[in-house]
Amino acid sequence: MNNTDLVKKSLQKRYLKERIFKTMGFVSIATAILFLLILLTDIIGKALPAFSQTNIELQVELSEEQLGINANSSEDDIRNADYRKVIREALLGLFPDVTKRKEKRELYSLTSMGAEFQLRDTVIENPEFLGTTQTINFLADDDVAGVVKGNIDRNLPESDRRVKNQKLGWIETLEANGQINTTFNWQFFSSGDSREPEMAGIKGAILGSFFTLLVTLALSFPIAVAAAIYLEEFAPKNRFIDFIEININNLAAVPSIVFGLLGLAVFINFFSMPRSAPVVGGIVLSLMTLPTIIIASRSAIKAVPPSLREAALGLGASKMQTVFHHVLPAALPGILTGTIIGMAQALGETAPLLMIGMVAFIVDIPQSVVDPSTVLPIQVFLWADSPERGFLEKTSAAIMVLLFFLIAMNAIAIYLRKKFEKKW
Amino acid sequence: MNEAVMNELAEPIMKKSSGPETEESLNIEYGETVGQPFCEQAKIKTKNVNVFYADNQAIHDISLDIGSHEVIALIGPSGCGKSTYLRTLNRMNDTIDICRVEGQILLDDEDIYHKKQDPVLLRARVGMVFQKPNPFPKSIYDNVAYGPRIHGLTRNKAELDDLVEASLTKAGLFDEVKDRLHAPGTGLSGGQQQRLCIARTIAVQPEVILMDEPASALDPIATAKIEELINELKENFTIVIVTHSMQQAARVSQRTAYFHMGRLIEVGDTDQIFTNPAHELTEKYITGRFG
Amino acid sequence: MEQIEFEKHTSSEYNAELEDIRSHLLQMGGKAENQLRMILSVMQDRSADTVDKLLAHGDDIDQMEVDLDQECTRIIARRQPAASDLRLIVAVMKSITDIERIGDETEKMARIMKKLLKKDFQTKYYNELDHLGREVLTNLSGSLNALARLDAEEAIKIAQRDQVIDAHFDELNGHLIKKMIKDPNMVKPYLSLSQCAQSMERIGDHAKNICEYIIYLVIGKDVRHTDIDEVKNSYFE
Repeated sequence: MNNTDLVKKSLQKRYLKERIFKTMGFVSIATAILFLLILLTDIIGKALPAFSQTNIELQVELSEEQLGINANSSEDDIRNADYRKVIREALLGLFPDVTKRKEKRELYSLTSMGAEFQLRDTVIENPEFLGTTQTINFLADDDVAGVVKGNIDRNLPESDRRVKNQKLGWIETLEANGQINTTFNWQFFSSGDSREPEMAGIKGAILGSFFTLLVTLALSFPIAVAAAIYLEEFAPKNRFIDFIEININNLAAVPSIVFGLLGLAVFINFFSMPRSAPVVGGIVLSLMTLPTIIIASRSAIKAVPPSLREAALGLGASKMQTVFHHVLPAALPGILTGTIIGMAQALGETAPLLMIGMVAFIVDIPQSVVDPSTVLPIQVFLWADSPERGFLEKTSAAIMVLLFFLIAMNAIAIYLRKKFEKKW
Repeated sequence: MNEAVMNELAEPIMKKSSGPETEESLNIEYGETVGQPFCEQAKIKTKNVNVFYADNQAIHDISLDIGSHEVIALIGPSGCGKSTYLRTLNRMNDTIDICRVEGQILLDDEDIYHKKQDPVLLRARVGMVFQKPNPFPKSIYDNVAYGPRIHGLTRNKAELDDLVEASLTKAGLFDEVKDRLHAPGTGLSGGQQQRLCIARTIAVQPEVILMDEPASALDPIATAKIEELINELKENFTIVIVTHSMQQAARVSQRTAYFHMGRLIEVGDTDQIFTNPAHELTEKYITGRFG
Repeated sequence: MEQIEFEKHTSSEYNAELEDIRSHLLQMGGKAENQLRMILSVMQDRSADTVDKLLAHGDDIDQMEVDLDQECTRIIARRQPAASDLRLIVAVMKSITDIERIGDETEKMARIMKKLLKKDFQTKYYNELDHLGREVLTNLSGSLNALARLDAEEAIKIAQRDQVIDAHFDELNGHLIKKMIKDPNMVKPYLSLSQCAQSMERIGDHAKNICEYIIYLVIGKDVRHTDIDEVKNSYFE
């Protein structure tokens, strides 16, 4: 047997191994994609209802006598008028045969707790409505929404069903009259948190995350880049610097909750900074992202070819000019990528923020970095913790928003890298 | 003596081991530098220069003068210290922490390693061209304008434009790139990039240009252009060139210095070095017996 | 003086090429030397056969010169020789010209001898010529030996001995001229003998040239047209 035959013989074996390896790789990737798809479909499926809202159309009679105000009343008076009664009258008008106290209470719960504020805001905006009868869409209660969206099964026996027969009857009557409609849930993006699922929105959490990340970015980016430049380009090679380097690498591996504890002890207890505020959250998260950005920036700076530095130095550029005119621009894509990935990490971080009180229930939308607020992942955590059926879809919706921001940030990272990357 | 005897004599005389000698097998005492390491109109004088990388001595006791407006070629096998020596001349070795230079290097009789000597100023006077063309990832114009800009050599845009054009012209590149001065310098061919780097260096108007194997990454035509350029540049600059190509050293230089194992073995007129080197090691290297 | 080695190049093929041209040069030299030897034997035994044999092989040396020239050109083009290698090539290229001329001179003498033998011209000057020829032969052999051994010292000694040959030639030529003056009828054969003597002297000069190339090859200095004693003093004492 000559060499060619021997090689041919072994080739079969080698190709077989190669095929097996390829198949294994393909199977594992397919599995990963499958699980990802299941996860995403589940989340999206659950989240979609959260983006529509169920309304009940009611004719309300805004009589001046009943509200005790007129167009000339002061704003305070208009604000304090009893709108709840107007809505209740309207509901009673639709179902006049309801007389028992208990049944009345059930009837009134068809509309959301927020319906009266909705009416109030409408009146404040349009004072000319006073003394007229208006048809207004009122936010439905989450139970009504559940029935309409099909989350509550109408065919279940009454004893197992959250909405009893009588209420179901009202809802079906309203549906038959065309008084129930669904619209896109803008409120989800424009309001803060609430105890009522149908009124709960994510704007507070988005802004909280935004302010927190703003603080994180403002603190960690310059410090980290400066540290990376110093360590790579200027620092003498000695034990002390080695020690610092090792510790930076170690810091990247410290559990994030430890940073939360540190934030609680140092910034809130010692420096008496405001609790639940994005500024503290930002500081804590920047402690956490600093090592990530430093490490990414250092490797980006290290990857800049030494020939570029030599070229600048050889022309008589000072060390500083070399770094800022040539090394930094060349390393920028890598640094930015590292920063954005660090930021994305910070955006998804929960544990350290729990420690500094950003887990509180906050209805108001934060206006600045010192206002109490919460962040997206904590909002997810809070809603997931709530018993109401309506919060289930809100949780998934919030996760979708969070994922959207993460993907957007990664996309920006890729874009920046492509844009600034230069060949040499 | 008859034909048969002659034929016998014509057989190889040395029946010793054939094949190349390794450097280890050369058990040679390195004596004083052979030839003429000193010259009258010296631009740079180096006296007893030793260079250490941590505890490793890379260069042993080199004394060599570099004459004004001459092209001197440094040749020698890899790792012989010629590049290290070249880099001591504009203190590029400063960037390496573990590198230590002893001895005296005088540029126009000023010690360049004196505490008061600013390496940045020195590098403006002693420019450098590197082995691999390394233009900045900027436009051709900005590449050439960078040096004058940081040193503040021109007062206004028009002057800078003139300087850029003059430098590119001197480097023989202007005609090739005049239509695309604002195109990236990295888009040029290898030879053009290297001439751009030379243009960038001469834009700072140095007195000495150090070239570290400037043509080793280029094809023969581009190499010939660089060599022609070196020939023209020697009118205005003193040029020290390190090269692996002996033919190149023979073509471009007036004097040649042979380095071996961190020592300066022989210095002499290029003509003499390439026809009749005085030192055995130079002879061995030049005729291709090692290295 | 250091012994120059033509081996030990990194490229073994290059070694072989250089060794080749050196050995071919020595073979060529050996041929020229042999022809001179043959002429000398003719001077002694006046054998017409030897003369014919010599004339028949006259082209051998020319062919060797052409081949060696080509080989040298090829090495220059392909190897770009430097230093001692370069000097070797230059020395070889110059030496072959001289050896070729030596060949021409012996051929010339053979033709003259052929004519003289035809006329059955007898004279004691054949022996005188043989004497001069022996001295020339010693020098030529010595120079080729020095070339084989790359012995510059020996080459200088031989080059110095050229003066002796010159003196001998002058003396012999003087006698021949006197003969011609005395007996104008015999001018033709004596003139032929004088031409032979001149050829011998020329061969001595060529041998001296070879010695000078050896000196150039070994010590790297061109000693042509300089005082040979001075060279000797500056390099060997």
